[in-house]
Amino acid sequence: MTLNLLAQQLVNAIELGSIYAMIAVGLALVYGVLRILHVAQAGIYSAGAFTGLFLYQKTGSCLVSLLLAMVVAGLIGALIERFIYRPMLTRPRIVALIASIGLLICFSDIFRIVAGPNQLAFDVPSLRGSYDLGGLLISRIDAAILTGTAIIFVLLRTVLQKTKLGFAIRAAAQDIETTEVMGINVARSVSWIFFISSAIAAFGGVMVGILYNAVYPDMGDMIAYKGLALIVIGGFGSLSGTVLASFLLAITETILTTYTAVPLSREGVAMLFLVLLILVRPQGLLGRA
Amino acid sequence: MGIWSIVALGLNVITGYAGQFNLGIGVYMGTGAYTAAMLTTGAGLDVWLALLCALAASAMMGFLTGLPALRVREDSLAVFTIGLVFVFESLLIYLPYFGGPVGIGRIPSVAINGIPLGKEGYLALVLAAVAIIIAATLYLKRAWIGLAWASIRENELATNVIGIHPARFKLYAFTVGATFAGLGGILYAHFIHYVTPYDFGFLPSIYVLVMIVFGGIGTIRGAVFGACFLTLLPELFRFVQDYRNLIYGATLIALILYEPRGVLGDGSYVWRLILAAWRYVRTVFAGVSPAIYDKPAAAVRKEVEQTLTGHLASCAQDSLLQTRDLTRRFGGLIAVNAVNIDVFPQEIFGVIGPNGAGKTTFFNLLSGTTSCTGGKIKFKNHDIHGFSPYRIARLGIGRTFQIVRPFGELSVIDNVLVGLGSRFCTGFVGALGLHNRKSFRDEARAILAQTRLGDYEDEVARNLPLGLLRRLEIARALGLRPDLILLDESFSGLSHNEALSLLDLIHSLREAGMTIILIEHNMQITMKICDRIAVLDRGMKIAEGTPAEIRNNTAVITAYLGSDGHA
Amino acid sequence: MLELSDVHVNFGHVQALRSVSIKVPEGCIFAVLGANGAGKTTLLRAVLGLNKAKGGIRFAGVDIASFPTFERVRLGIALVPEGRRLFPEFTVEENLRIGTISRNNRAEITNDIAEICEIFPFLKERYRQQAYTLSGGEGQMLAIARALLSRPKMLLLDEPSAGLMPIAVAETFHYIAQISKKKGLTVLLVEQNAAKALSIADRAGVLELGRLVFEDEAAAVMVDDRIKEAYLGG
Repeated sequence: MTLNLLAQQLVNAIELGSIYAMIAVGLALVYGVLRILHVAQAGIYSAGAFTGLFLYQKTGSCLVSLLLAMVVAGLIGALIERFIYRPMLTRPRIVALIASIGLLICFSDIFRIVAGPNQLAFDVPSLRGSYDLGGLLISRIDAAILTGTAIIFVLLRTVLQKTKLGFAIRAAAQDIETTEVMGINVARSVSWIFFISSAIAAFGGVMVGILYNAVYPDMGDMIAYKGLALIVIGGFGSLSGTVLASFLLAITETILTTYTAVPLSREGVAMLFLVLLILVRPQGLLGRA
Repeated sequence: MGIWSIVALGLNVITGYAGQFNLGIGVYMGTGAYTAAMLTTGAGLDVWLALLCALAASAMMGFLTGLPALRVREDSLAVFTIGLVFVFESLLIYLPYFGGPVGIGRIPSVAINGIPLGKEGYLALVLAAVAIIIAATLYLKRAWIGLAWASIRENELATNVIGIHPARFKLYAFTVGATFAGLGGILYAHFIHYVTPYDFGFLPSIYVLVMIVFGGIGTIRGAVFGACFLTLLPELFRFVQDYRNLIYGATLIALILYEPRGVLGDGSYVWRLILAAWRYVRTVFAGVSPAIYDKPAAAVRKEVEQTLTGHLASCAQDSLLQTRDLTRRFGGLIAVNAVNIDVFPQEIFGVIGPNGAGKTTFFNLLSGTTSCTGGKIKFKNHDIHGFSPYRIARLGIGRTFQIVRPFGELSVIDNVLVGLGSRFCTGFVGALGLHNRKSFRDEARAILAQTRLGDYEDEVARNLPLGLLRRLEIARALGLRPDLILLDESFSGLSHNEALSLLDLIHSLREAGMTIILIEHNMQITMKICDRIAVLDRGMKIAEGTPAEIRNNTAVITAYLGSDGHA
Repeated sequence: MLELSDVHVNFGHVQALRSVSIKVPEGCIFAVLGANGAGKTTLLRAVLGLNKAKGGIRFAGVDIASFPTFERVRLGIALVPEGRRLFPEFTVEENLRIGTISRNNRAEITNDIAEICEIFPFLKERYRQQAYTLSGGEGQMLAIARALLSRPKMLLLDEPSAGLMPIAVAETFHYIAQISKKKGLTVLLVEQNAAKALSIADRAGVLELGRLVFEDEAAAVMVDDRIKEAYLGG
């Protein structure tokens, strides 16, 4: 393996890790405050991809479609919270998980019915082609993804650390009742959490759709259960833990599937991690005991 | 259809009965199916022999997966099982040993005496299997193990103090459920003659979960109904086939929102209709329900009381319970600080103190719920510190909780039977004993009579008012024939009348030979009922004596009302 | 300032508060006393809406009985919860700042924080430490500071002496009295340590098993035999 190949793989791993991290962080935000495993986020991810594709076909502008898709997805997410999750807050957590799984299944099927079961192409000419960095080829879409995720992370961090909303979210993750006692409208903050994490998921969906030039109903599956595994491995709501776990997973996946023949699908790898980790350290990598 | 019913019943045992949410039932079904498949095709084993091996394999898989499941938190359990099933599916796909993504084919039909069973024959076989499994499940439900499972599902924290080891029973549930599911898998393999990894992955596991959630979680009729209905649905409505997933998903959501007990679950609209109709039919054809148990209640009660006093006479010690320098630290905080008390047989001993004095921690130390970081506890001359709570319960210390922890869905008499049974039923085989045995029920009834809950025997615990629930807590603890009973704030929240009747009950317990230690905030009651009282403040015992002595003790008064020292 | 009329609170079967009516005038320090389980904490939580209550609750003339918690808080009520309930992972600074989250005037906020830090130098010392490292007494002061930073009209304190060493208790009460007089703050204080509470209160009420058994000026309550009964039984 030449250095070039290694570097290429590294780029791939980082890219993969960024996407995982983005989506998983959204999940972790939701879990941190509500203790709900929001598997249905994968459905929003796919919804974002489909919406983005649809809008692109109408407007021809990648950026506009992307942004609009994110907004639409955000709204869908907030609606889901309001009408499906909120009534379940008094029930045991497993109920929400089951409902979330149900939602995911519904989403997949809706896409299949509306857009057909086949892969749709998501070809964006302006993002074809690549940059040559001294022998290292980075395609434009890769660059877009890397920059995009970096921007999102920076924005997210800014919101969480510097804004009132972020402050409220961080407080609610520790003690919802006391946060309310501080005069914060927790319900509204939760809606924002869903909006943000859904928008991020949509970004991921659109980008991955363009990357692989394929948008299809089941595309969320790859993300759904891996996302679960990631927040559990990362430590049940610890944001930095989740990011760490995402990159670890991406690197491991890339190495394993490229260089060795492990009898596991990519998903299997994540799940194996999950199973082993829970046994050894039930609170996750960076979680509190 | 029948096949899926069997699998559904298997999941029902794990999830419905024992309350352990398992989202990967495919693992067990697949184990059974693949083992049977491999053994019959690869090794050329006889079908029936392969069946036995496959069943054993499933059971073992259930056991093995159950072990780690004990360690994980509730949230994690569901995720953990999801992880398991994905890994399982992956392994099946990628390890060539299992035939890869194409699976194993040409599985022979089941044959009796060399004659292969045709379609009708096989149907008969499956139906027979379903019947067997239903019977087995029914039996389990009636057996004490079913009660034990129900108690873990309802209120795991309370099971410890009545002598049930929750981990052990959870394992039983996993093993049994896995075996059932495995049977389903085996029958599936011989029916379709072909197994692939995708048959037993995550999605099928979810289908089974939908089946029991839809039909009625925790009920046999629900599991069967759910399985049949949801398997039949695509057949009957061909056009629905296309939308199968959508409907599954939507059903799941709708159900869990509006009718979480399932269509035929215990409280659901449909089931109540059916029950009402049934009752109507029965009154129309009025029958007389025979009074089966008519041993005079008084005689039974006397028996129970006699055995209690007899029991006590055999350990005539000076003091029943002693603690010496009992200490419990939590990091820097000393919750219980070198407390010494002696409690004598048939005494009513009170433990009082202001908020945060360490009273509940003290009880937790006595019942084994919390371990002590120093000092000793002696009960009936045995050292018991360091013992696990269920062992202490069996040694003869019963306990109630400040916040009542009844097994809500069980009837009053079942609540008591849980405690009773754990005295006799140890181990798997023991637990299979019937809890409906006459002797058990009689004893349970006697206890109910003693605690004056006799009229509420069949009432679901959840519906009782607080006063009765507190008495139920006591009744449940009595099932273990304790010598010492710890009452944690049993009087809080009671109305005046309820408190008076509870007072009577405690007196009668003492007369029956029991020793009682109680924590109470209600001073009037404490002063009235206790023989002696110990006062704790900030973890230390600051006074001990008769009520009169305590009331006038300046240290006590200061502790409660606060000193006006330096303002 | 605060008026409760015929308030009932039920938890399932248990009647935690029965028909409680209290009037707390502006600027008054009102102590609610009673044994454990008498319903004191429930009362405070009902005022804020953390427990569902039936009956009339008026604050500063406004009927708040149907308002969600955060709205009641924004009207000018602040709570120092039982056991402090600081945000354990937040630093001292963040705990202070979150008290100000519903305010907008940056200059005033900065001033207030500076003022509080003058009064409690330890806050400045531990400014960047996470809240769970504080001792009981320090945590209590931080919780009070946090509550005060929202510039409330009324301060609710739930068992401020719980888990504190006697010296810390004395300091805490001393401070509460001081700040109330200085800012004209109305204080509703729930406390098990009757003597300490009465030493700073203007008025007091005693709860027993969810009912208000009597209410009077603090001096009168202190010498009334009924209080000893309520705590220690007849």
